[in-house]
Amino acid sequence: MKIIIISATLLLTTISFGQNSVNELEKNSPDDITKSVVSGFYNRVNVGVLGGSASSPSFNIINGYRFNQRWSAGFGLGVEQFNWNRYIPVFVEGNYNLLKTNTTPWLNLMVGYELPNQNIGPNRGGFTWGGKFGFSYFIAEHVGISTSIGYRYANLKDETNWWGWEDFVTITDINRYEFRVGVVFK
Amino acid sequence: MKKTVLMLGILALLGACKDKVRQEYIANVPVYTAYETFRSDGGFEGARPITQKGNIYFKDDFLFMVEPDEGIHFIDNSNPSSPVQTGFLKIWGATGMSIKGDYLYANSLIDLVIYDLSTITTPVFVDRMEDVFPTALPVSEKNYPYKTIDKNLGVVTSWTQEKVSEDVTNGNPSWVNCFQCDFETIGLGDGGFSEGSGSGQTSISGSITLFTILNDYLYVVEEGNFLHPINISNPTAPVAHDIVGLWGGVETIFPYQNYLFMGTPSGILIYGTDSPNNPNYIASLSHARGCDPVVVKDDYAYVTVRSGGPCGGDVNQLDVIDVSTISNPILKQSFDMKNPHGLGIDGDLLFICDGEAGLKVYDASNPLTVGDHLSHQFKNIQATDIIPFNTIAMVIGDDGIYQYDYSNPSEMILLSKISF
Repeated sequence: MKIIIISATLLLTTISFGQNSVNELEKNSPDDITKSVVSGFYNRVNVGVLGGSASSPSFNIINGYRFNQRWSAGFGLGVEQFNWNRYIPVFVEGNYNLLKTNTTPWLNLMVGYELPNQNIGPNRGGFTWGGKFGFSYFIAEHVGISTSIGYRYANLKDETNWWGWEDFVTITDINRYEFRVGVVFK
Repeated sequence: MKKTVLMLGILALLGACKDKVRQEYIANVPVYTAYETFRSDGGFEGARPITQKGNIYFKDDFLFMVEPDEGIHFIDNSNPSSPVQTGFLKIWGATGMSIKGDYLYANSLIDLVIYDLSTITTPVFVDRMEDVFPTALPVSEKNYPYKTIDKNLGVVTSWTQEKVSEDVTNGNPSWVNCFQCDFETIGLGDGGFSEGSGSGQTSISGSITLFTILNDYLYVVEEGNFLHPINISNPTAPVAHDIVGLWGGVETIFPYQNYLFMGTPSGILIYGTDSPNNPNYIASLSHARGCDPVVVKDDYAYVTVRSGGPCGGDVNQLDVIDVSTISNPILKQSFDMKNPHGLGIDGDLLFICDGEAGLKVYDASNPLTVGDHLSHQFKNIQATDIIPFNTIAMVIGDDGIYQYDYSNPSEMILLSKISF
């Protein structure tokens, strides 16, 4: 129940925040829009929750490059936990800004691999991908905040063999929605 | 309104996010044979090549070798230098046998079959006790899980290995490990029948056994935790009594005086047979974890503890246990070994099948120093079990049955080898 309440709150926050941002941007003059950074490096630090039939904490840091007012891409590292196992997601992401401004709604796709926290043992980690819709709002020239909602999938393999049998693999398909809040630096 | 619909839609989608867990593995899948077909099979045939190692038994100049799940090879061993295979008794699912008087008893998976050996060249079927071993299963690839068994479909007579991928609902997959279920995963396995006395009335077997005869009772250990007492005082009409519960996963059984010594991965159990149809617990002694066949002579039990295999552990040794006070067995000495399997004792000679180290022969005139008195060692044989009897050592190796003459222990002579 707690997760549903938190999720609903975050969802409302994201949508309202995004809607307000867009409304505000629509009122801006052309001069404001031209303030948008065309290219340059960015860094985003996120915390979030991956929810659904279970919930998992998630944290990541992304370093990337903004190629123009629409497109940017980055490389991320983080920490996540699924079913008592901790993972280090290593991924690349691509972003498309819906507006040509600093403060903008955006779409994001990521693909990567969930590395098991320990490189010994039966946990093999697995492929992961996800997609998000979010907003960034800059509160200073180089500092902004972001929030997003999206979907996340991971295919995790664990060769834990409780009975000593050979070739026994447990595969978990992680299907989660995700909410994130973060800080963006550029 | 639009916002509300959008939010409800999104929330509904989010609620559909559920993890899925599935397991992929290679499983032993049962192959069934109809009860009628299973019970109509069998009979004595001409000799055929031995293709798989099994337990060996000896009685009245005949050597018997069980080919697991197939049947029993009959070998005329009146001349150990030149043994002759005389026939094959086909018994579906056999893993062990025993002979008392003129009657041969063998398991046939869930049943016990009896043959009359009055004319040993033409055994005659006498009777079949049905469903005596209800949880028995054929020898299998034990390192794979097992699919659930449905007894209504027939007798499980073999296994196929299939790759299985299945969703796991509430953490309950369909494979079984059967700690508490009706069907254990390990059948009668490597067991055989054994009698330590060599009295001439009963056959003799090696030390790695799960069946034994003591007086008028055949005792069978099933699945490591059940002891079947079967009264064979009327050899053609045996009576099965209630199962006696054991514990610890019994792997071997050996009769001594009126007691049953049983080896488990963590020690030995001693049961009394004052009430032969209901053996009672007397004592136990723990040891390092490992497989542990046991033989007993003159109030000393000799136990080999072996690491690896299904028993686990990391100790390889020979334990000498004082059992003069049967209710209080005392470990007296331990001697390092390489990887000991079966063992046998005859007179003052202790024979140990010590894995890669081969067959070792010790002077056991003083049990407390037996491990320090190695008198002979055959390094060129990977021995599994042995029957030393009347100066002939019959040894199961990885590639055949070896026979040695030990009338002069310091100069044991290889007499013959039946290859398989």
